[in-house]
Amino acid sequence: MLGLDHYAPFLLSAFGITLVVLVGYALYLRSRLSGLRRRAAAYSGRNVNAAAPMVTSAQTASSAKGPGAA
Amino acid sequence: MTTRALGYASLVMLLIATYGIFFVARPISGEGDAGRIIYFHVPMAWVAFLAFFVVFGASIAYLRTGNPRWDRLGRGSAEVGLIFTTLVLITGSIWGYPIWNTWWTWDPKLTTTLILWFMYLAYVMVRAYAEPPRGPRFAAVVGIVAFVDVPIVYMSSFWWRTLHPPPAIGPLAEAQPSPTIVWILMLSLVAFTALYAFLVRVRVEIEETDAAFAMRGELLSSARA
Repeated sequence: MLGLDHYAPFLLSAFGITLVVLVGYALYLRSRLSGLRRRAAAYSGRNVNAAAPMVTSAQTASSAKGPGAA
Repeated sequence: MTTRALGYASLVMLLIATYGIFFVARPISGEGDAGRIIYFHVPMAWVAFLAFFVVFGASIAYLRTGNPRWDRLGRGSAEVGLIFTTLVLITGSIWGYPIWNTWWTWDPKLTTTLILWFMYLAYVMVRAYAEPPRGPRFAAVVGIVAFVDVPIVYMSSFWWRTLHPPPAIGPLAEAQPSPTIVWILMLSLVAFTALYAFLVRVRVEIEETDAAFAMRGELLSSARA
């Protein structure tokens, strides 16, 4: 049973700050790592196809219908 | 063990430790529920010491071998250790207000811990702003010199009899706490150590991905030139 005394605000604030800082730091690391991985994957993908022109999905859709299709 | 598995394992252990802190541990006499803060304040201090010991070892290894892997480990461990030291100072201050009636006092333990925090902040800043190859070398020297403060922080409550209580557990502990206190403290200690290992692994992975990305960029730009 969680029966806390009048010192509870100190305990809960210390625990809350610890939780927020550690979860925040872990989320920051995760977003940094996934961002780096995405950037590295995009970068290597672009250079593998360096000789080919970059084609957007919109261009692909319009060229499939032919140059005159609007 | 993979990084993800280590992350889940530390999360489960932290949840069990949290249950122990709030539902199993009894209020410490004279301190009330504020005394429960020691169940995460002390393990975080231990993890900070461990982190700085890893920085110390990695710095020596980097200066001897010049292998950038040691530099990445040292950098990651210093950053995580700095986060834990910050939390140690904050939670200690919150514990101090109801027990000592002050948020901060220039007690030797607190003062040496604050000095430790500033020294590893210097390490992180040197490593972030000084360009390689000088940056990692300078940071390694700071990592070795700063570690001198770790035993001083630990021993300060024995060398100078002050407000801060001496260690509750360990080879130099004077009092014998109850088995419940010891068990919850040990559980919390293992959980925070696992969390430290997880955070350092992710931090090192970031450094390695960044280094691989930079190297690939350099190779491509030199191939084009």
